[in-house]
Amino acid sequence: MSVMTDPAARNGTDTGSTTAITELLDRLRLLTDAANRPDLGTHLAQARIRVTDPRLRIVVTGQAGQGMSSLVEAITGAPVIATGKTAPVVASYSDSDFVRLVPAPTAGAEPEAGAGPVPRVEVGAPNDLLAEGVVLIDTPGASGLDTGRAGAVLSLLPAAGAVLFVSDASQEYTEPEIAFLRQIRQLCPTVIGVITKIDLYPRWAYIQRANRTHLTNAGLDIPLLPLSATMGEIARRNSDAELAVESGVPQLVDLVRHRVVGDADIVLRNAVVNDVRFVSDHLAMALNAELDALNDPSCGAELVARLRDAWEAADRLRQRTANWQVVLGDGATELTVEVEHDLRHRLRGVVREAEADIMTSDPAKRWEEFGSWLDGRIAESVQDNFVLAHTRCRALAEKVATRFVAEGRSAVPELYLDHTGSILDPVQSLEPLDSRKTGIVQRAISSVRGSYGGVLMVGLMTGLAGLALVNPYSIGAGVLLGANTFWEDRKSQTSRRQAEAKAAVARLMDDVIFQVGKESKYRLREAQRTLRDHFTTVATEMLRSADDAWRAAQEANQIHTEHRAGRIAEVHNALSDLRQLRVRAAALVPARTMEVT
Amino acid sequence: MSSQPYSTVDLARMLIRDARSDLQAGSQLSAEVDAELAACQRRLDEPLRVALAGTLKSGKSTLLNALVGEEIAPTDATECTRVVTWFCGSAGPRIELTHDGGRRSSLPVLRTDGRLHLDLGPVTADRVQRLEVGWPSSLLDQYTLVDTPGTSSNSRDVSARTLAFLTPDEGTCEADAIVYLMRSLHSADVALLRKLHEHAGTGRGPLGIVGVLSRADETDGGLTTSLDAARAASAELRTARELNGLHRDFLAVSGLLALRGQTLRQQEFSTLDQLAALPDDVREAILVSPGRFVTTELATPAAGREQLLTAFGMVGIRIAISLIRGGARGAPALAAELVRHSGLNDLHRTLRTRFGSRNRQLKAHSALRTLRSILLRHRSPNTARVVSAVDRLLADTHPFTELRLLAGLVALPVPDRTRNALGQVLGGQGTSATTRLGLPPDTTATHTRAAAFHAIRFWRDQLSEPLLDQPTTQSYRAAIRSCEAIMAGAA
Repeated sequence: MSVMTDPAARNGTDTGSTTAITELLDRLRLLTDAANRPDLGTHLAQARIRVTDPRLRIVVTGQAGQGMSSLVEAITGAPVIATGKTAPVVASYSDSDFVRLVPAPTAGAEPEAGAGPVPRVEVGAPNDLLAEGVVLIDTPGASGLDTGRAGAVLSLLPAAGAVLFVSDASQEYTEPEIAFLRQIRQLCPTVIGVITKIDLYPRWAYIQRANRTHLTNAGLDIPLLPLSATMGEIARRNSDAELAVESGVPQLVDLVRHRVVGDADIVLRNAVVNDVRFVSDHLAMALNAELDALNDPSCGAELVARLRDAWEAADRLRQRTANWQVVLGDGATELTVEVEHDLRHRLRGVVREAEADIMTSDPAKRWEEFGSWLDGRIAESVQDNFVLAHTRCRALAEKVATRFVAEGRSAVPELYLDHTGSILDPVQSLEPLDSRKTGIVQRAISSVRGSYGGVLMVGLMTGLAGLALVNPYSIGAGVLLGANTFWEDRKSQTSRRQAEAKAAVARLMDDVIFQVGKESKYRLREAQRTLRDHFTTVATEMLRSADDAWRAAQEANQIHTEHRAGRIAEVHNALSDLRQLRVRAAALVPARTMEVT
Repeated sequence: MSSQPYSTVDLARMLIRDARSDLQAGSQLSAEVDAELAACQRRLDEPLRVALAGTLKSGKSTLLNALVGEEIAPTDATECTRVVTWFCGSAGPRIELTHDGGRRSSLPVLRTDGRLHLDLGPVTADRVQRLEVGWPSSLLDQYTLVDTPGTSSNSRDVSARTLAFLTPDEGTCEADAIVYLMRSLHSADVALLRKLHEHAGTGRGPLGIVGVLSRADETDGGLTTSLDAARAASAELRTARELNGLHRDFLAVSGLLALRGQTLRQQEFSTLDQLAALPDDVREAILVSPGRFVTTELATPAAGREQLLTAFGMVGIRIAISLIRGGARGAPALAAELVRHSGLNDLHRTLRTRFGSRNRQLKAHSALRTLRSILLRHRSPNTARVVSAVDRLLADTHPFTELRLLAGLVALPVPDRTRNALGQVLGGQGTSATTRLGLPPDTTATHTRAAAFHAIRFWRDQLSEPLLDQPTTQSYRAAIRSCEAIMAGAA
């Protein structure tokens, strides 16, 4: 891992540090190894990776030429060369400054989430904020000109922790900017509006006020921060603290640190607490069963029977016929249909608009312009469809999780009540984190995202652009032919070309629906598989624990009386060890934030 | 080509007269139509109407002020122009407002610090039909300027008003020519340019478009080299894929610098001069932020600096200081340098060659397309003859062809030398015979004819190239025709 975390820097909430957490996880790992539970061990290993690599993506976007690259430079102090026009710049922590161009991944390699099939520039700098695990992604200006570019930015957002939306102080938000902000907000809940270049525009405060009004009118609640990268740079060079405050850079860094990194940290800690609870519950199950059997051999048979029931319930949960499997299967089918229907519906609207447009005049004259207009409208529709698929996919994951928890609870109430919450955790708490972490929803979504990103970035216009309509008569010819015949003939020509154009649009739409539909179906199925695998794993873990408990109780019944006291003491010790670990884990999170889980 | 006995304007006038009598014969001449025809005719005698168009905050009002040389269009940091405003030449200042179905009222002419106030009073923007400012100005005697609110505004109704003016769904655009401003190429600009282009193509919009890359002083983060950066950006636009088939020629102009140059006061100059004389490090330190610029303790009074900041902005101050340090001694010298630096002179020149010398043709074009739309609305067998005559005139008038081709010239796949020669011969630099042929103005008629003859042979030669694309062929043909017109002595 190229990113090393400074333990002290994460110590924002004073409730523990990364080392404390890893140590805790390591101790629990020893216990799982002792209990011969490698499945739970894997769980802990993943949690450990999450703690040591708390990378948090922050996407910087806005329209071209608003000073995005300078903003990244101001925040990180990294030498961002203005190559950001075509390739995204990824700034992360390193001990020394470096800049390198990473070529586009080859077709065979699994593209890293969010990287997309384009080359990118990687920048490293020894900076405090970056050391806290922040990775800044400076996207090429989504000028809205290249619709594929806006799509590429959107496809980055579901995996992003926050978005900095950049607009300079020369003018207030325009209509396209507000529209873009709306889309961003749907994909990433934490958006910060940055007003740049306040060193150049003395009346930036008016712009800020106007922007605030526009945001309020649009129903968007987004913090606005005025900032000047140039002033920040000068302040850093001259170590001028007063100017630094004036530049607004430290305020932004603080906001990112508290609001974004802080939130992510709390989420991370909660996830760790839940992991610890989850694993220790599973371990404790066998121990408790054994203890019960040891303490009261008379009701041993009853206990064994009860544990057998639990085992069967857990086994049922693992079966294909389990309720959650049905919910998942049905949900996935519905989702596929709904997403496809939505795409068709949107594209039908586009077709109608296109046909109306074709009928207004001779399409051959402005075929090219018409083509690029259509291109834009299609890209827009596919983007909206992407947003829909994303939100619906997330909703499905949550629905399945709820069902799974309910089912698990009814099957083995007294044993599983304790950690029902933790099953949901991967869904809730990991959501804002990196997609490569184990969050089920994230994994589902990143697979969907990859495909949609691809569709958004590849131009779809080949079908229409290649089709040349017959050139219209030159105006000069009209005079030669005599105005009347010319108009007559032109009329029939026009209607023929209009019919041709409509057919071309219809063919193109078929192509688009086929391409996008194929991709999105494939990816949704991938998402379904990911969800199924995840819950099956959890069910298997439950089954294993139930199995262990059942066996432990049986064995306890057969243990000789003279060994009984010694074994009871051992089990007590193991249980108290577990309890201690849980208490320590709980202390990682301030009481207030525990409620979140 | 036959030499035309009548100019296009005369022909347009005759057609309007014919249309009137034809409509009268079919007893279709209502008072309303009569008024429309009269307005159409009057338009031929009025100054050319030039509309300033562009997206929100692209600097239309500032450029208008710079062109006129006075602050008569209100400007602000936030969106300011909310209604389409007409600025016409007049003997004395006057502001007239038409609202609520034809009610007219005069607004008081109020100025503070040379800035004109346009306060609509109790009338809300959506009720305004027409806002007209009359102002004594030599430029306004030549052109009527129309300031439009920016498109892509967050207030839909404001954008809608501009679109209704520039690209009306019915009828034709009231402007004869358009100056299109943009800060950098954006999809909203492409969309609007495309719409304008379509309207021109279907005979409903003006032919003449001059592109301006505005707020040029702010390009490249407001460094003092920003004007050069803006010029480089304007060169890039010539090959921009997005502008295929659209207007691609954009002049880098800083309206703010041009305006400041024209309204520079002695007091402003002396403040700037004092700042320029400061030691480098002190000056750099105060130029870091607007806050420091005003609050730092200096010999120069803070009030003066604050006023300077409002008027010039940080970038303007930086550029002005660097001009003073570059040798602009004294207010008149600085004023001239600012104007020169701003690119306003280029714009004036382009306006003159594109619009000024074709003034009558552009107006005739507007009048003809307005006439056509009137006649099409009142169709009858009587008017069919006039409609086809109008169509023929619109299609067959060589100057209109020249204008269309000049707009697309930068995109032709020909060597620069050929392009320049083509621009010259099509009247891109001026429409006199000698300018078209690149001859000194006092060349004798015999010489001119000989040069025109040579030129015809040259362009015919070019035309024999087998791989020419259609636009190039059209341009060469048009060049030949322009030369023939010179030979015939008609141009």
